[in-house]
Amino acid sequence: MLELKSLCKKFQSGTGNGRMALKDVSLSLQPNDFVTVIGSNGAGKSTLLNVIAGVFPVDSGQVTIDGEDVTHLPEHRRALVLGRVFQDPMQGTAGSMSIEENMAMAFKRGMRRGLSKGVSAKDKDYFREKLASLGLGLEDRLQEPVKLLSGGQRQALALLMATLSQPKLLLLDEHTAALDPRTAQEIQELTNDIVRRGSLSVLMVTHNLRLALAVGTRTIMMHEGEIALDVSDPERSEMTVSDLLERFHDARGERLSDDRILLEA
Amino acid sequence: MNLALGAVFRVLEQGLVYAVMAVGVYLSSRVLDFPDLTVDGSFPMGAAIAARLLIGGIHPLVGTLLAPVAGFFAGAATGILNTKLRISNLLAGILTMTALYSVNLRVMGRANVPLLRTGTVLTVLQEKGIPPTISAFLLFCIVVVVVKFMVDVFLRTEFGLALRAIGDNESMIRSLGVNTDSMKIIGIGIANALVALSGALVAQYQGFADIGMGIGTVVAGLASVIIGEAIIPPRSVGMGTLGAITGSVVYRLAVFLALRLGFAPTDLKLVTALLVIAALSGKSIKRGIGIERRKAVRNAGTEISV
Repeated sequence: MLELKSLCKKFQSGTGNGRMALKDVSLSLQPNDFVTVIGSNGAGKSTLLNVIAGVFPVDSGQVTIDGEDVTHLPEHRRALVLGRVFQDPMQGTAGSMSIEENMAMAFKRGMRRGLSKGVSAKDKDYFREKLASLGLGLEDRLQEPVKLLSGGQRQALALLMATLSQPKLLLLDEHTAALDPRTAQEIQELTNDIVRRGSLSVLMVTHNLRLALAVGTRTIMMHEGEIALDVSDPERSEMTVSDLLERFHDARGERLSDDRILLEA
Repeated sequence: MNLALGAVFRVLEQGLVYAVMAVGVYLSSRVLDFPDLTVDGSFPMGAAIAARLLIGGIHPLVGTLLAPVAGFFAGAATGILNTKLRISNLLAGILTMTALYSVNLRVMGRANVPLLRTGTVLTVLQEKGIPPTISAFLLFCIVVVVVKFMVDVFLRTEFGLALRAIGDNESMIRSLGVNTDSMKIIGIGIANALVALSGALVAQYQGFADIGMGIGTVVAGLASVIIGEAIIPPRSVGMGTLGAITGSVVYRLAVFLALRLGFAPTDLKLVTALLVIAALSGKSIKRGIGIERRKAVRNAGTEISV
């Protein structure tokens, strides 16, 4: 499904010394894998997602999605198979445009956009049905600009838009981190639902270790640009957060300096 | 009385003919969130091309319709400078505008081309039996209605939605598979096509094309867009274009009144610039003293873009 081979990515810092954001990262995802990605700040989690999405190129290595080498494809050419939700609810939707227009844009993910009507009557019924599945009443507000929605509603819409045209891979970049705890939980449940129904492969970055173990089928921990830990079910389902940190200690021979941050976030 | 009425009629004509340009500026500044200074060059370019073709004996309709084609390429050039060569949007527009000054002189052959003895779209109408007193008004009304209708429909197509999303949330629409570079190039091209069409009509309306007629076009266009937004809140695409058109008419009316109040015509650019500054700073001052702070923050993107 997703095949990462020896990815390296260096960022130039102002002082002239580069920082290795990804060091020889290899990862293989099977269809229906739901991988949670954890790690402290600067571990390379977001870089990994950005590299898969094609936001910036890698220095070396290869990205293959569903058998196709996309290493050198620009971001917009990978969109057909990739759905993405960001931390900031503003980032996944166009605020000045209506709910139905946002849905219509997502519906055309990766396809040619011509001069036919942006939102057709037939699409509307489909959008209404999809929006109703969120249970937020958005199906009755099709014409309203998205900026009138709350953060949680906007993120739910972003999630729906990311998965509307059935991408093969869904990238979630701390997509519940900016929401209040209750809304975060609702969005997470919605995510699990959508993933289950759509049988997607997922990479979900999170700061919450408990959540990382509670959802998905596999957890990887990144540390200083490398994958320090990679555990899958059924082994993973037995693990607690302290088991996870212990495993990290065994694997790397060091304690995470910011355990507390990881636990509390 | 009759004289005053006639003068107001002239103002309406001007407002309408420049409204086509204002809709172009609305497209770049508001829909695409791209401060496009190409306009000061593409407006006289439209005039120059129409003038040159008309005195060359080309049918006025054909000459008028070829101007926006050239305008499209001028805008596309700015888009390419910005997206492909990574030159900032303001500088990209300035570069194209400067280059167009030479191009326009080449096209016209000299700084001023009178069109008094050639046929224009207006004389074509008059030959069809339309009285000269209303021919310009009638023509510009039709053009404005057609342009508004086409732009409104266009902005609601699949392509148009993506174009609007670029001005709203560029990274989102890119993640949905849109080549934002090409879209911007086409979008700025379309905006300048409208500007050039306006220039071609203005040249025929005033009876000459002049190398200096583009100076201040962008500011006048922005003034129209800002006035329009104040009168008609742009809650939808249709209201946005209607606002630009209304703003253009009101702006020309304001210019007319300023002249009646005794302003020298040469001072008008200063007055217009002050008007735009006042409109923009009004928002910042309100923000400074805390009124509408939340609203201002929410709209910060669009305000700064001006």
